[in-house]
Amino acid sequence: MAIAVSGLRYQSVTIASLDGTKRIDITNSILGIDYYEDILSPCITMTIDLMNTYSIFNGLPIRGGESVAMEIETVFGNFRLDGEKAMFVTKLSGLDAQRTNESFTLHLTSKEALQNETVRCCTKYNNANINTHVEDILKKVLQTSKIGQIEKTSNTYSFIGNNKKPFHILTWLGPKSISAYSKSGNSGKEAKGTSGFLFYENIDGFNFRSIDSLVSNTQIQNSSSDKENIFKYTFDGIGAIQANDLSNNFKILNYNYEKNIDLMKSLRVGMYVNKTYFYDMYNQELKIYKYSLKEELKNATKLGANESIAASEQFGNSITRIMTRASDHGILDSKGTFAESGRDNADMSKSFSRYNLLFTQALNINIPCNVKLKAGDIIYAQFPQMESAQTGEVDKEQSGNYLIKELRHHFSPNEMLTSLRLVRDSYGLYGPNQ
Amino acid sequence: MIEESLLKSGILGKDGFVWWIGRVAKRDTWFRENLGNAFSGEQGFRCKVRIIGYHPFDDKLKEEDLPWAQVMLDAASGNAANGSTMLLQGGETCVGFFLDGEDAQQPVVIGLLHRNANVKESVTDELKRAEGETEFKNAPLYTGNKIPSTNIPKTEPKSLPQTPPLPGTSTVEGTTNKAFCLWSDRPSSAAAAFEIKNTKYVRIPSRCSNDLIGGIARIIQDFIAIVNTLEKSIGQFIDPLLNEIVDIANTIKNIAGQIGGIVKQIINSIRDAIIKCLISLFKKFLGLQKKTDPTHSLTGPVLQKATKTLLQQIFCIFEKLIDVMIDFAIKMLENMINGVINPTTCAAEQAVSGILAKLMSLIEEALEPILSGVQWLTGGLGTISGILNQASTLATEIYNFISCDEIKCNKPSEWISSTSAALQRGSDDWSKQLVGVNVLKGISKDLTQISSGISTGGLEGYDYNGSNLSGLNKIARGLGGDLSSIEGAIASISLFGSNNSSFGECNKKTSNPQTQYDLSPVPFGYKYSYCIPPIAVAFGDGNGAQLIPIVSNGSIFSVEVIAGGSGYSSPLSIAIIDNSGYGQGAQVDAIVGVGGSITGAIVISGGSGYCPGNYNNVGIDTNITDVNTLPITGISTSVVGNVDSVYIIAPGIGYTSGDTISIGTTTISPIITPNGSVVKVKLPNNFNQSFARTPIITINTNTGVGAEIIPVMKYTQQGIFVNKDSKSVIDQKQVINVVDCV
Repeated sequence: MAIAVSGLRYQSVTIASLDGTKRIDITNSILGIDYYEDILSPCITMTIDLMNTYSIFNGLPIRGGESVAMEIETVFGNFRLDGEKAMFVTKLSGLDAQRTNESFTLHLTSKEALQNETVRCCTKYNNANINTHVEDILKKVLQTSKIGQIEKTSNTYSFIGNNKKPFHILTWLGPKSISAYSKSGNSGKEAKGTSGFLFYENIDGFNFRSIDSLVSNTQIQNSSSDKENIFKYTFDGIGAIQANDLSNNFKILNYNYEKNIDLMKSLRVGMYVNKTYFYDMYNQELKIYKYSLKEELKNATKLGANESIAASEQFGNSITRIMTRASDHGILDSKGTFAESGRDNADMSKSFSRYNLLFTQALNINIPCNVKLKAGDIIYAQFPQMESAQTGEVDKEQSGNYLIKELRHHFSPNEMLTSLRLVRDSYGLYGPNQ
Repeated sequence: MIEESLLKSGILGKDGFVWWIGRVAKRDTWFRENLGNAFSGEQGFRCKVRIIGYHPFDDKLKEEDLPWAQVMLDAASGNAANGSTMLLQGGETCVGFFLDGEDAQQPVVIGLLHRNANVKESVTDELKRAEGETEFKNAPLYTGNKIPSTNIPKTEPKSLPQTPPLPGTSTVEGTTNKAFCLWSDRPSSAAAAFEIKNTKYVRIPSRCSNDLIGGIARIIQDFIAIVNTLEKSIGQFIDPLLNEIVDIANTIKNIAGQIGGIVKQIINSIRDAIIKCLISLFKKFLGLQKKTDPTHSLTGPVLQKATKTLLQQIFCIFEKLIDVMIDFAIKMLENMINGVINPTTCAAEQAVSGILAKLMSLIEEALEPILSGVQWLTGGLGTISGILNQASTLATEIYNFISCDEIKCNKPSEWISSTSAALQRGSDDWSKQLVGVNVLKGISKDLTQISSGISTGGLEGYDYNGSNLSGLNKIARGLGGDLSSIEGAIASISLFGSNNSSFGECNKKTSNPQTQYDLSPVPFGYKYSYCIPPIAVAFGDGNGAQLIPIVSNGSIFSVEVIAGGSGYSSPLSIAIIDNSGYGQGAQVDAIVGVGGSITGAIVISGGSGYCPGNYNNVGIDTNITDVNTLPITGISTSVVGNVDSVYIIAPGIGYTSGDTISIGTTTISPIITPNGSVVKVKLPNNFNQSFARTPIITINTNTGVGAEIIPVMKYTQQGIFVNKDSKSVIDQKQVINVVDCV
């Protein structure tokens, strides 16, 4: 067993009452902790399984909204969730107090997730870069200082909050955003570039990042995800591993493919080639934009080395989805002119393609607990090639860089694991920049 | 969220229809911008909206930050209402949808919900407190125009500066909620049922809104026609058909409100034209100042502010005019109650000219002081003053502004016929109206001179072109003026019965109508004092058709095609029009041939009660160019004709090859399909049997059902029957077989 799997040591796990007058250390009551991040989820979540011989439930009491702070010592450093990062109780389930002890599961989330339910985006957001709106909402509406990476967008946008919750707006802005580091726009009847951002929370805070930057290894990324800092994990087979070998901390304990190929879905969502009928409400003209993801990603960053996105040119070159949109001329111009709000005419085409491509392959792996990993990071996963029922050389198609879509740290006295759901957009050992 | 968006179709309209209820934002946050766009040829059908559930009803989202919504037009707004004016004022409750579905960024207003004076707040105080909001309520409607029929609480607009009321102005109080409907309230339930079954009501406004004159004329005609059916006794008006007392004062208010609504459109058009002209002149003037005046940085903003204030005052003045005009319309209608019985089209158009003449007079009076100042300021507004000093020139400007290319405009059609088709009215003839205005101006000038000449003594014994001056003066005073004012001239129009020779031709038509075109339709259930033969009119895309309905025993026997015209498309209905109210129920379809020419007419139902004309020319003189010139010499009862062809309304089913058809004494074998449907009936070559009334066709069968066949009759001129095959002339006495196969 690797050290990272067995080296659990709780420094402190405390829960405070709603009025702040009581704080109980529940370290000795914990059966296990699961911590979750997901690049498709705007907030982090956590569950704690507890068992104790005194009634915390009614003694504290726990009624929802209590804060939980913790610090856990691991091989890769301390895992701290306190202060601004403290978690809050949203739900209590499985309460069993029939015997001499009580057991239950606490469901927790970040403070902003609770705040999200109590505030609304009401105002008009005037024409500005979308990243400005994101920061504005995070700071003024959600009132958080946990700002991770808010990537600059090249396009501006003006909109009204429509009484929607902040997380809804922040996620809704994703498909409309175009990275400042990629080209976009239209060239005649061709829609150019890519678009699509993801809003999510990880241990660093709230992030608003383009898919292109997530899968690249350029300077857009922070140090932990730079090329030289990418964690490399290998799978050598299922079986016991030695605890005293530090390299074993980077073994893939087991893995399974959740999905690999879904051609029908890819065709139906128009991932390879699609077309947008754009109705210009002001000039009452119909414009048509064709969008080919293959053409736009030719020189862009992908996770894999293979240039071809579609296995077959027959599928990769055919228009398989049609979308329609109407322009928003003058909707929010206070002076009554007919300026557009800033949306790209074919942003849906581009973002839908990019999102789908990213999730083409999904792989679940279990590794020794690594609290340095976080959702949105890239890791290198290496798998052996199967030859006559024996493992041999590196599988150069399946191995390579993957994006961490979901992450789960599992802390329990006997086992500390990190489960990852990895995704990537193409096959091949390395991306074009490596 | 992202996954949800990926599951959407991405097709407009397929990802849910998200509808909403909202409130049109305060007028001062969008109205002028929208108007400015309209002036400059941009989209002018937009307003800002505050949408319930999406936009908070407090100061978190300022009124000016609200999104612009496109206002949806109905299909009757041909040419997408280009050139029309949107009438939203702010504060209306509207219903709409989001063009972008759940994104909810692109609202479109579908329509409005009615609001009456009793509606104060949309939520309770308790709910407001619960929401922590203080202004969750309907904004007060902008009521500067004070259209009485909408029953809006009277409050003065706050957004515009007020000017003193014009001399002689007054306001009309709000009326009850009950809408006044001239026609639908009249007949008994049985008569109403008949009317619904047999009458088509179609109103298709012109794309260019150039049916304003027609609209006012129709309202006046309707009013007089209705009032003339009432019985007056001891100061009360009684409807004998419904056996109820009519509140004539309230009726007049309603009618005046309707006229006011149309006059408002005319006023707005004039106002817009003048303001457009003023803005253009001011732009030139300010531009000139910048070039020549080194201190323009000081004077420029001041002048711009002065310009803005001036325009606001002009807006305000025009808004006041509508009240004055409604007041005038009330007085005009009151004086018409005891007028003529037959409100002909020409007489109604005179009344419209009178309204326009009064309007011109008011505009001149109201704008003259302001524009004189403008002229002093800019030194270049002589053109405007000149325009206002000459009604005809002003009216021409109005006409040029309102009218549009005739080719692009459809003709407004509206209204009634006993059956089948809508009458189509011509587009408004503004030129004709301007002539009318000028005639009244001339009469006014003459009357002023005459009046000043008779400075001493009364007016008794004097006349002007056949009008008794004393009578004219009395009507003029009833209209709010005197003999020397424009009201004196208006008092001389035909509808006031003054017999002024200036309107001699129309007076004659009004007092003694001879054709349907001379007669204004009487209300359903009433009849004119004598019957006038019906006319047949084809409506549709084509033109040039000349049709004459032949009446036999009160029923339409046939419709003779004098000229087929061209450009008609099938199916095409032919309206049988009897404005005198005697005939009703006829239903006729046209047979349209190659090139869109009408080749025949199928009388589906002959109706009853029609009176025949003199058909001596029918079938002989094919060079008739105007059906109105056909002489009408009285009632004829000896109409006869042949079966020209048969028309299959329904082919039926189950008929066999042995089945026959009987027309009179002749038996014919029809052509039957393998499925047993009758598809064609070919008349024998020697079939020349004549009929005095439309024969009933009998199908002799033991198996078939459902076929319906009617004869298409061809009138044969009385006394000179022409055998259509041999072309020989036969004697009338040979017509002996009148066969009714029941």
